[in-house]
Amino acid sequence: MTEEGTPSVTPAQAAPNLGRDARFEREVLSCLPDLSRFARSLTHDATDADDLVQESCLLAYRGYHTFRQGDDARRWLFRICRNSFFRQRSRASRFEPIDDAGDPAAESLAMAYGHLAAVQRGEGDLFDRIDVGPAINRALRELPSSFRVAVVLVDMEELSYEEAAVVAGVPVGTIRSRLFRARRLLQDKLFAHARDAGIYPATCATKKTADNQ
Amino acid sequence: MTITLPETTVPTSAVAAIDCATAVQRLWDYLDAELDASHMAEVEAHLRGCSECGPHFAFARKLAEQIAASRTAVEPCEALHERVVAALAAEGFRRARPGTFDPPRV
Repeated sequence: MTEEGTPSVTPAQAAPNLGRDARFEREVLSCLPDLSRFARSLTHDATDADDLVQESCLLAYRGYHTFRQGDDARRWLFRICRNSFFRQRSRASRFEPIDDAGDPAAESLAMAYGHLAAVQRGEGDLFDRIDVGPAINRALRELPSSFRVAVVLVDMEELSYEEAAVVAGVPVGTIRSRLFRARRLLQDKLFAHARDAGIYPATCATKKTADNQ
Repeated sequence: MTITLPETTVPTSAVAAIDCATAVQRLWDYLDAELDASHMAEVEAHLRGCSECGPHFAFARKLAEQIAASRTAVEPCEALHERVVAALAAEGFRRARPGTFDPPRV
């Protein structure tokens, strides 16, 4: 987006950015609920999320001249928010090494094998036996942040792989790799949670699997 | 356990047969509708004829649905909106309609 909406002279001299600000309010601030939800998914803390939202909006305002008319403001904000989140984590010396080694096709196979093994253990009815919502939220918090971002963007915010890749600032193949790995980890954690909750009797084999999570 | 298969636009005669490993390797790409039409049709055709793979796809679909359902519900928050506007004002931002909070879309 250019500065074409910026008035040059009177009567907007007192408020030279009025047109730009009105557009920013209409296009960007209208996304606050989405941005707030995304920030909450990243931080898992309401206060941290609000701070991240404010920081993201300030960065968005300062860089609004780089926003191209017609682009998706929500995805643009998500990208700013995601970058800000990782920058803050880096400053706090809590940066996590990113594991992108997973081959997407192999992760899909591992997912199916994991399900097959669960069926053979008599755990195939997991979703009928427990409310997995709380377990998913806990498991999401335990995921490496880069994996969690992929899940949030694709599964929760319903972005395509390509859109999620743009937001995350990585190639599409990396998003697939992280997403598929994350889903498999979530599946493993849900089965472990069900066993820990006593839904299924623990066996030596399953105990070993759970210990390896 | 059953799964709902989307309509395919690829003629059945043009669909190549794939084995279970290939179908499962495409599991997430298929469920996320990220495959091209011909690859989608190949997976669909395989699932129609394979009783082994269907449950894996159904379970994976259910997992994705449960993940989506766990999305945090965040209501439009006037306090956060006002806080952000106040922070922006320090940068020179001027809102079009001062003092109003128009609950944005959720």
